[in-house]
Amino acid sequence: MLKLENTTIKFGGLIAVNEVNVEIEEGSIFGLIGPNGAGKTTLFNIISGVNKPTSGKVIFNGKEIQGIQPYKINQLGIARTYQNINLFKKMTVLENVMVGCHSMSKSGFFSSIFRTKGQEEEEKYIVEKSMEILEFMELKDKSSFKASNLSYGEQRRLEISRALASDPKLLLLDEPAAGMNGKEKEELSEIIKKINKKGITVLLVEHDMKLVMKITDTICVLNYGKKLALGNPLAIQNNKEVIEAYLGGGLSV
Amino acid sequence: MENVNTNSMIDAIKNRMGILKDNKIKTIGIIAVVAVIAYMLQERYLSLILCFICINSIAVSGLDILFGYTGQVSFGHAGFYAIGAYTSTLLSMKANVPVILSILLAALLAMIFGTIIAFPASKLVKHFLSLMTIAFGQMVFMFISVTDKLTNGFSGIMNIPNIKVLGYTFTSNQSYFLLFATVTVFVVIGKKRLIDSRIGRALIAVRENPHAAAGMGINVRFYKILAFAVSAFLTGLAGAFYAHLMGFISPDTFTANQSNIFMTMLLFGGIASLVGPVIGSAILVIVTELMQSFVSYQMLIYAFFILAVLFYLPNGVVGIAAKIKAFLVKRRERKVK
Amino acid sequence: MLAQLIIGALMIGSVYGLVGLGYGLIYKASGLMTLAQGDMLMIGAFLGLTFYKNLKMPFIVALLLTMIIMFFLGMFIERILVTKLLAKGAQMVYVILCTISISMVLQNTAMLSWGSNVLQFPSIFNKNTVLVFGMKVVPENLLALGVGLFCMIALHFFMNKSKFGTSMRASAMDEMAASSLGINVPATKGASWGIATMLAGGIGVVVGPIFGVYTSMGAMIGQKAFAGAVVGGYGNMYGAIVGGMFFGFLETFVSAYISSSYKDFISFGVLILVMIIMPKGLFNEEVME
Repeated sequence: MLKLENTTIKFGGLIAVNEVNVEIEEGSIFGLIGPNGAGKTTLFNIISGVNKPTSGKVIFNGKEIQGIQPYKINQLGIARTYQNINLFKKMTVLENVMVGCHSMSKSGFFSSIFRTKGQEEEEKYIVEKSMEILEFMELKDKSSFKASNLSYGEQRRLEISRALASDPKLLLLDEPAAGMNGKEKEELSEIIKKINKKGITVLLVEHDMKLVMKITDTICVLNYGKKLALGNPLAIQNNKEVIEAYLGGGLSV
Repeated sequence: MENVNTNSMIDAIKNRMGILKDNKIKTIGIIAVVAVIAYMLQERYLSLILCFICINSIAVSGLDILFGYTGQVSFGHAGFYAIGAYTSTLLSMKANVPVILSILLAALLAMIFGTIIAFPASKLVKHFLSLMTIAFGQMVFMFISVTDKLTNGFSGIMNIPNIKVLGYTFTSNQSYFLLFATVTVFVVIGKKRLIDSRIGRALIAVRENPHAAAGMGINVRFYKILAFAVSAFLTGLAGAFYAHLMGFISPDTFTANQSNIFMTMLLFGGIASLVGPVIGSAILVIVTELMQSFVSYQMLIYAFFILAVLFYLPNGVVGIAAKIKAFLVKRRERKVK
Repeated sequence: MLAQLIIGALMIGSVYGLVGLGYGLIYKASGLMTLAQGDMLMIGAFLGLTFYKNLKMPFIVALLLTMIIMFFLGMFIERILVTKLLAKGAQMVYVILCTISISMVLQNTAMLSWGSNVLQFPSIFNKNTVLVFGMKVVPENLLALGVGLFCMIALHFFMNKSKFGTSMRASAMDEMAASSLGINVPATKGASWGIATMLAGGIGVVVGPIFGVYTSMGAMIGQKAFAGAVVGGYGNMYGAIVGGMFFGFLETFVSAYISSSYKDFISFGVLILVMIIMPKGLFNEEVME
């Protein structure tokens, strides 16, 4: 579904991502791990269109998408969350998700001002769909809360809800477990599995090894921008080079 | 379990539909009140003040869409105001275009300028955007002051024709008030519908977090340009109304000061709100009139309002009203307990 | 004739440059924009006039005294208004609005104190024209040019060679690092505003004799100086000087050879073009997001 061909990006003299070749299968949960500064978020930024690779390709469902603007990439079916929570703090939970529905709706300026029938029906549909997603993510009872009033774990779930609203085929999660406690991480694993069961391919960047090993089908390890290893969780856990790459040889599982 | 979920969804939808119905009643109510006021107004002066309030409300609502909802600052909105005023004047006087049409064309021209400015402006960072909008406002001012073959320069243009609709000519301030008030009501309604729609959410998303907005499929640049266009249209419309109401315009009305006044009205009334621009316009127009004898202190008074907003009323009058309401609600809750 | 134009252009260019580098100082020191520099020039002009004409002080004393007062005015604004505003979490737009209101207060206060007429400086020099390299030049122009250049050079040495100037540059580059080195960062911020207004006020005193003194004299100058700062690279002091000179020459020669009534229109038009085509300016300053 997503293929990275010799993807490279240089920032001045620094090569942040170095000729990475990776193929992500449709319907899988794919993990991207590596020490800090390995280039994981940069790779995400390339896939989601925030940065354009210096060379190489990003192919999504047969179409080359490198260098396309982020909003267009979202319209093609890729959604993402961010390391730092990027919610619309002043909007309510429901409104945040409704914004996420933007690419799959189409009412324009005039149909909104004149409240045409089509626009009214679309609004109803957007509200319905958003509530469905919130229910799926177990946030429905908080739908009228201001986003800033949610707990940290709930905010992360809201970010994921918002990303789901655009009907993505591929979901990029950037360190979704950051700052969560054990119980919240358990819930997160369940949610990611639930999302995947719906047919959405998940690409996950995470530092929490336990989580990654538990839910992913395939893992790719990056180090200094280069692909170090690729395989199923068991193979990666036992890979000597990978263990060495993490200081102190500890892939604490 | 299934039934409960379905019910809550329907409830959510019903709530939204309920508000719709309520608005229609509110709208009719407001127009009725306005009509009664207009009828009761025998005093010309009071009607004129009310006309100013309406015109400024329209202009400032435009600015609100750009700044309050989309987060794009503009210190040059007097430029659009001027374009609206002068274009409608010149079209109706020199090209013999019927006034209603010239007003519309003037607003459209202002909108075109807004769109043109928006292309480079949408790429700029906050302080450069401020400067660009100031430069735009100044360029318009300089153009109308200097190109006297077209605009009569500082002498201004007199005898601007009155608005004629279907054979009826508006002459009295009262009739103008009825007209402007109706338009204001429609502008506010249109603004509400825009804000509550997908477009409005996109604008707010652009203001709150452009990166996240882009990641959700929102073409940030397009929406910034849209906001500029709509904002310019409304302010241009207000300018055209002003010209025909007053019968006389000159460059002095369209200085950088006017841009600052619009901003002050918006901030004082409350940004990103429906009534904020109206309240801000009302208060500042009234204060200006009351201070007629102190006209040499005018800038100090405006500066006072700006500083008051910056230091004590960041959310304007609307914000204060919301705080009072919340306070009263909490008090009621405590009493119940 | 050409020589007169060049001297005039240099003079107005150095005025724009001096006022403009104040914008850069403030931006580098506190990351903020101000729109009140032009009015600082105006206040300086009025103060200088009052000291020289009404209190009969020698010109140089009037100039220095004005500059000292303006310095403290600038510091006061930064310490009392700006810092408080920022402490409330205001964004840059609101600080800009604050400076706009300061500008309005200054203009209105000046009008109330000195009236709205154009006031004239009594002549500073005995001669009407002076011969420089065989050309007739108005000595007040030379004075303005001289004071402008002197201030720029003095500022350069102050920022680069003196201890406090270096601390100011350090704070501008990295507040955290500077304060952990024992530098009093708030003081440097206040000083940067103070210096900016001091320079604007000072050049106002020498510009007064040339243009006359009136309450709206600062507005246009402030905006063009701002334009110069942008063209030179917003935040870069030397860029502001170059940019100011650019607009000084542009304006003088457009006025002489093309049209004097459209000169400001063209200047602003050029500014907008620059902002579109090369927003980083001549000295390639980063336009922060």
